[in-house]
Amino acid sequence: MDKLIDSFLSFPSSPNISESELQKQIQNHLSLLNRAPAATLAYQHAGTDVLALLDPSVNSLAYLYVLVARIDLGQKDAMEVVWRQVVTFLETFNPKQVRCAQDIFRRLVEYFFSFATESGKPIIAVRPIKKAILRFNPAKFSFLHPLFLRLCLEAKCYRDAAAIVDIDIVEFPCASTGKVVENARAGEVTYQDVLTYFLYAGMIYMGIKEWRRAADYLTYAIVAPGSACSQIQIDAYKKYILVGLLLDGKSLPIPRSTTSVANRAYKALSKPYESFVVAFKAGNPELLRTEVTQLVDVFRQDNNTGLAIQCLEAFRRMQIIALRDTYVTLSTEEISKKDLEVTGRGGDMGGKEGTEAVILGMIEREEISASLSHSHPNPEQSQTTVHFHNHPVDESCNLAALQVELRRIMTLNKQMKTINKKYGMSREFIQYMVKMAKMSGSSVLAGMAEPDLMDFDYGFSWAEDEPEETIMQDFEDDM
Amino acid sequence: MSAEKDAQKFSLAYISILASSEAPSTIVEILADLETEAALTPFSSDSAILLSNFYGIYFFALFLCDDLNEARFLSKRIPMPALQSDPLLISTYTLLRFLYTRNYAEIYTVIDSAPWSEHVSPLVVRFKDYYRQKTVLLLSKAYSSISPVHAAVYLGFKGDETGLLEYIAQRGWLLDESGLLKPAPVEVEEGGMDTDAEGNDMRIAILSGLVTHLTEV
Repeated sequence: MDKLIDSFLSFPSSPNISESELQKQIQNHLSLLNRAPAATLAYQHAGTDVLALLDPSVNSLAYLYVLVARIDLGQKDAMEVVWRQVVTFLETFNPKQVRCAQDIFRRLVEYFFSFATESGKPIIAVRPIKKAILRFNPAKFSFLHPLFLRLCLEAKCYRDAAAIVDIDIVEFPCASTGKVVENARAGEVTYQDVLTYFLYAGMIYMGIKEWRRAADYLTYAIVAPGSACSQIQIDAYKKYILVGLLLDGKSLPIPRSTTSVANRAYKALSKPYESFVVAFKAGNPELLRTEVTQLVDVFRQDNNTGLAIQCLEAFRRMQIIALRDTYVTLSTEEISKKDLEVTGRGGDMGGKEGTEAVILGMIEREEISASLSHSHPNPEQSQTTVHFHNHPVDESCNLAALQVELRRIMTLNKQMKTINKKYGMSREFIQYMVKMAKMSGSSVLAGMAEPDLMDFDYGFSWAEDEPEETIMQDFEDDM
Repeated sequence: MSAEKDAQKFSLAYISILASSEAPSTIVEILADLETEAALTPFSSDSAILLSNFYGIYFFALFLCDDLNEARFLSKRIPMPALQSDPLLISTYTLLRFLYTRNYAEIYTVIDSAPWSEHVSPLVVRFKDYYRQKTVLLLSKAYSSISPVHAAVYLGFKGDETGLLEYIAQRGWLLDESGLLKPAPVEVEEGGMDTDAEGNDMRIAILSGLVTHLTEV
């Protein structure tokens, strides 16, 4: 065993070796670790704990193998003992080494995940797994992503989750080509993983009330390609309808690139939601109240009660915004007489004081451009008037928003270029090109030289042969 | 930060120093790391003081970060018995509810009268100032005229008219002859549309960055 520990410690031979040398050493080291029986790895020798000798940030692979061996042999009881070391490992491991032992790493994370959730304290795994995601490339999808969001939803850690979902995913792992059979399963990410990730990310943004981003993520789930429609997609679609109402008072359209199977399923299975939207848009509080009483069970069944209640709160705000088209000034008393409070909470929520508070909140969140004024210093005799402004948003705000968007687009463009290049050079793609060239009858080289096909420098091309309207349509769909 | 170190840091002395010296966002980051320890510590008479101060500081740091959503989620992460039996946490939770429902009158009452501990008070004082300042900006934006009674409620000067008048006079508000307050317009934040040389340089840099980018694609 001492010999084994020595070899653990002698890897890597020095911190500044070249990339290829490191890879070679990793492979040697892995074959040693894979040969060692779990029992040898797991137990303490001569009174010393192997884990205490190893530095998880340097001897990551050995540390990982020893941890997994102990859990394999000891199961739950072992986890009770080593979970703190698992945390330390997840926060400090060396990503270059661990990337080469994805299958073992995944086992460790899954053990830890079930330990945390089964012991009723999912929170203990949230920060460590978040840090693990950030140690790899967080913009590349991995098995950690959906697992992490599920933990966050269970532990109600939305702030930590938001830090991860704010990073747009730009890359998905390729299905392995069979050459590295050993690691093939570990890197595998299933269709469900991706769909649940998008649904969960949408739910995280709903929790923190960022409806725009929530709608974006739900869209990704809704338009996912496939020959059938998943229940996950249907759940996403139902939430998508409600989020649309919260975002700007109307239902968002089904994106054009949705598969026809999914499209039909959405329409067939979301009928109650459609009628809710119709009642919401009609602007008649009485109608909406009746509709809601009929739909309470549907929302409860779909776990969408919270969203639906927020829609009802939003109804009043949307109707107040709509008043802007008719009035220049209006007293809060007049507004409260319109009886727009549909949440049924009672109290003074629907009264003029409540209305004033709602409008103040709307001004703070910049949902409306208006100002309030009191008519008399004595509150008993005072009337509050709302003046709706129609001057556009402050120029400097616009400029700042524009700059943010520009920066975002520039980064996206750069990422797209790198990925295009990467995939354009990948073996799968070149094989595909060869196949296509053969099918079309021309020689391989002629196919490769085809400018249209090789022109990957452009992130997107303006479809010149498409009529202008279709392009605009696309654009609107995206909005 | 390793798990072992977290266990050591989870002490009243450490979080107390943190609360009085660090920026709110830093406090939130550090306490989020320590939350595991808090979650594993059962709520008992021994741990009550540490836990209630820990969560109290956590809440106020989130209030100061304007993250009421997360504060609400934090309240759901704390074991119910703790939230309902500890006086410090009861007050913090009540305050959260009032902040969430914008009950201005009650917000200041809770801030002024709750039994805050010495460890939490520095943040409470900071939050009261911050919240008042935030509200005064909002009122300037939202009201063209406001009755002094309402302004006193919004700014936490109920029954303290001189305090209110002093506070708003510093911000350029006027009291007109009808007895209503005229809030001063909010000053445009610097760095927006300024025309000084630095701002211009910035804009040119951004523009040239964009042009370079466009030529690359």
